[in-house]
Amino acid sequence: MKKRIRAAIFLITILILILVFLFPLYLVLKISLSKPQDIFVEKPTYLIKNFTFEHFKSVLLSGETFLNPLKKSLLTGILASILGLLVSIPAAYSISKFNYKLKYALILVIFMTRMIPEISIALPITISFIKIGLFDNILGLTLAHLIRILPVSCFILVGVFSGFPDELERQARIDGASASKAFIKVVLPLSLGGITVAGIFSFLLSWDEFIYASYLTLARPTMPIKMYYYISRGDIFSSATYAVIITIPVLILTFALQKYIKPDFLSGAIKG
Amino acid sequence: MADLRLVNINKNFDKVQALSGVNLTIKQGSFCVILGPSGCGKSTLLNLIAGLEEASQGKVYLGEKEITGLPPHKRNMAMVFQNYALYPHLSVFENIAFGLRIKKEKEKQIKEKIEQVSKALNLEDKLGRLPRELSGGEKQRVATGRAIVRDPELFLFDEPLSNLDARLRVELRSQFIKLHQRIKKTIIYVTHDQLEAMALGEIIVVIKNGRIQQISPAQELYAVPQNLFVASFIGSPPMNIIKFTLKKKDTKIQLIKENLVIELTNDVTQKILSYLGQDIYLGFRPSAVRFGPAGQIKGKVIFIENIGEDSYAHIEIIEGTEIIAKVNDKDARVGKNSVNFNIDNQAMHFFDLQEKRI
Ligand SMILES: Nc1ncnc2c1ncn2[C@@H]1O[C@H](COP(=O)(O)OP(=O)(O)O)[C@@H](O)[C@H]1O
Ligand SMILES: [Mg+2]
Repeated sequence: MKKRIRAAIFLITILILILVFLFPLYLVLKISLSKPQDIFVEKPTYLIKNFTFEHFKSVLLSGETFLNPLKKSLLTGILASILGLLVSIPAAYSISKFNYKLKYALILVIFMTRMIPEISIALPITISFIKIGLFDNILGLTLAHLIRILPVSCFILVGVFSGFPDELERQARIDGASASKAFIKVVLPLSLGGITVAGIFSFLLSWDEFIYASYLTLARPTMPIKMYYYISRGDIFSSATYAVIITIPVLILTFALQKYIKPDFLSGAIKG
Repeated sequence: MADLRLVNINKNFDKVQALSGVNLTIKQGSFCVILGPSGCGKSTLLNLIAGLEEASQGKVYLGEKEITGLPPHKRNMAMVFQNYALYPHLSVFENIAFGLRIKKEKEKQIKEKIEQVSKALNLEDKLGRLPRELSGGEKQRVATGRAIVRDPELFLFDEPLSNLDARLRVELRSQFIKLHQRIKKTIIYVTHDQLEAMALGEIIVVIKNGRIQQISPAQELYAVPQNLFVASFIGSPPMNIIKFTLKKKDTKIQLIKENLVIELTNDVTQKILSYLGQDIYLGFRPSAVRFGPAGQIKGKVIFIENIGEDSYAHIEIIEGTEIIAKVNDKDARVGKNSVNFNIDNQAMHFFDLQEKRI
């Protein structure tokens, strides 16, 4: 009986928390699906009164105004996650071979790069990027995004590789594989789960990034910048619609990944 | 093919000294068993031979060639790990083929070799399976197959049977002997199980705390243990070991502990004469006990243990000192209460306080 009460309290707490977290999201969704006359009133209702796809239609059918930012955000995200993996896989693999103390010291150092506020390094970065022709293009923004991505994906991958059974790698070496071949033929295919997680996290970190993008874009905005453009013009319907469109892939990917986002994941309990 | 030689090997992990002063020559084509309790450095020794670990000091030779720093893929040795280490993403076929593919052998050749090996190990109908679909014994055979198919110079087995149940262990034991008879290659086999070691090894290397204790054929290890550790580690039930003071009374040499006195016959006393007045260890196996009414040792039977054909009596000879004695059929009258017995003087082992054989 006691157990049940405790379970019930737990459940109710969780539900309340979920509601608190989801409420702003709901408001955005509501605005994007409501007619203006239901929003610009003194006492807006919580429920949608007059349902409409008008805003979505106008955003989705606005041609290049919508498609170009979408393309830029997607391409930057994909490029950033691929480049990020190419750099962080070997880095994390090497780090994972150190002993426990050194390993965590190194991870800490990597994360220190994130202690510098983005807003303060974005300016010098922009200045040097303008000089070398990386301003307002995908490659430049990708490189800037790697500043946020690399520590996180390294951290995830160090966990993945540290949890990899040493014996399998040793076996491959015994079977005649050089260290690099053992990595490619055994470690890599068996770590694909963890690598995918790191890649998708990287994508998400780039997808909704705002500060670097606001410095480094001029004529070719990303999705968050485009959304900000509507906010600054006071078009709350378009910005709410953009917000929903930006959020949907985040929700889907996070949901798909949830089985990997567990406390024991980083301690290496992942099984290929 | 050549002899494997380890010269003055030391291996440290941070503060732990896993191996100290290891000198070992393993003859080409021999079946060598490395035996010792868990944590004594057996796996470290194998890893060193395979090239997976590097010695802190010392050298490894294969024949005349020094291979100390050679990486494992240049050594042409096969190793089977305790947990088999099958590649979970590959089928049995691909697991066995792994080494051949690395060597870039022809597809046709690979097929032929695997067919041959899987037939020998009775794995033909398992080739398409994934490792997680196999039983423990099958996994073990796949791991062995993966080692055999590469036709290496040297086989290293790290407790390959320790994860299996007792019956299977005995069953698969003979497989290794047959394998050795067939391929005639050097096999180095690690185990912590002294019965397994005795059953398999032509030559047994006993290790304790990273130091080699004795290198002998199985029979010699049992009959002439070089120190107290080997004496107590080999044999089941273990050897009885009791500390005595050596004294001389008239012309007789006596072992004395509290009120227990054992008089020795003259033929055994020569080698221990120099220890007169000092403490020494007496060791004797349960089978060295001879019951009889005239026996000079008196004891109280605590209980009798029946293990299959044999029975062993646990006997208290002085307060707090128990020995184990084998009971023969004709000793069936060894019942409860008190018994008298002698220890076969020829079967006595003596060790000094440094635990070395006298
Ligand atoms: N990679 C390692 N790092 C630190 N200590 C180790 C390592 N490998 C083995 N050891 C230590 O070395 C000793 C011998 O280990 P091992 O060779 O695995 O023993 P065995 O195989 O006989 O059980 C143990 O004390 C073990 O803790
Ligand atoms: Mg071991």
